[in-house]
Amino acid sequence: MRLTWCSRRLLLGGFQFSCRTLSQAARAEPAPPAGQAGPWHLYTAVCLQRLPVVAPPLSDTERRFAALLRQLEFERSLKSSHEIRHEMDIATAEALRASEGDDPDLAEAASLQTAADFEDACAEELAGFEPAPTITEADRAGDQRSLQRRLSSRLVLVVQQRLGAGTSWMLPQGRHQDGATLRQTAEQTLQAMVGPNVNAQFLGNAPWGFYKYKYPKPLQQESGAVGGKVFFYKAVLRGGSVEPVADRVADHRWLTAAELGGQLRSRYRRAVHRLLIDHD
Amino acid sequence: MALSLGLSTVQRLAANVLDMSLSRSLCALTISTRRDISTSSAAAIAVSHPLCAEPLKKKKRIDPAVVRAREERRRRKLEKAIRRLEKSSRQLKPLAEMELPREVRAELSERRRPARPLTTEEANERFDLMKEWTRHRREQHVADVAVLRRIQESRAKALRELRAESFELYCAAIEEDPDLVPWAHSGPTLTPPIDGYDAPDGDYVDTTRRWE
Repeated sequence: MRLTWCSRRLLLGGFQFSCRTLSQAARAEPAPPAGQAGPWHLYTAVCLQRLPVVAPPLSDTERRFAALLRQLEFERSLKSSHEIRHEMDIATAEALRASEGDDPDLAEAASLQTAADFEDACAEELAGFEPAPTITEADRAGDQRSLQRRLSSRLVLVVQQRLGAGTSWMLPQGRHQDGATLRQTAEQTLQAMVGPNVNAQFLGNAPWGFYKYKYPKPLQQESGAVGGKVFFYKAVLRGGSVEPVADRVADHRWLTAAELGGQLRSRYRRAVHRLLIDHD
Repeated sequence: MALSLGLSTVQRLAANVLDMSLSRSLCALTISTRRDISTSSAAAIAVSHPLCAEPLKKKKRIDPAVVRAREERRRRKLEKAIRRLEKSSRQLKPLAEMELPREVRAELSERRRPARPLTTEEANERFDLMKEWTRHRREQHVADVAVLRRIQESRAKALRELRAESFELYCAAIEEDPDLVPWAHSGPTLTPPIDGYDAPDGDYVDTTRRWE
């Protein structure tokens, strides 16, 4: 498949991943020595994460051990005032039955709200409260563009970035220019890709991951660089809204670490996976 | 004028001198020459010696030993006061949550639960479950350590490559980020927040006992 290049766009914005050229690059590339021949273009990519909103459900062991701990705590405890009151209510009721309603004091004591009544009233009030569901609409619909999906996992933003004539699924990536640090480049890249209203907190000045790829031959000659070196920066979504900019990004998804495999290319995915927490 | 003020002889002399000089200076303004009685207040000004003062008392010499004894006593009093205050701060304050309330302590016998002995099967089950839990937690810890090591290595590799690429960018990357610490995050809850939930109003009155 012949690809047409818009060299200016590519040099500023990135380059197009092509299956054929990537695999060629992977085979041709040896273990990276200290300084490979030829200049490399530097890129920063941003791994924007939405942290878990809800705790994951307990596993079987955890559930049984939690029950055991509750049981032990109960056995070693003293009776609470509520329990004492409940026992006294029962005794009062018994005494009332034995005396067959002669004693007015007992009758009065029995007519007050018993501990059991109080417990029932509390349970009723609790039943009236409806907590938000942990499995949301987005989960059922499988809407991968929604932030309300998979509330107990971390979600990573993956975009279909426009490169040259085509697009590619990757983390938002931007070319580093002279005069800025890598962290500044990363922040600018994120704002350029998903709009200025995103509230992301970047985790430090240092990159978290590294990925290197070679340009295809025509682009190498055009740009004068061997390929690109991508430095990954991590950020946490604190709020705001993610509004993908249409002329840089065709589509976006929020994926868990496990779902990344289905969306990203293998060597790139391995580089990204190395810097992620993947419990979930 | 000086006579009329009822001054002493010495004072009167001084007053006269001043009167003369004042009169001379006022000559240009007044028609009459020197006079002793004046109705204007300017000519009646007189400089007097300090009045209503006692000669100062003679300072008695105090025995230095007595002075030292007084200082010592003052110091010991202060130290005693400091020790008394510190003693109070050294005493461990009671934790209301860790102590049984007075009412409960009074009826301890009624509050005890009847001891129910465990059967052998139950005891074995509990023992097995505790072992299973230990193994489960150890596996979790090992997995956590592996994940953290993997992430650390990825970071170290990125910094190595950056250093090889550009020393300047590397130096900027290893700078401390002051916004990172202190890090604050409200962790995951059991259920997600309800959209537009109107929490009921209430007052929080802090009844913690404070010890100074």
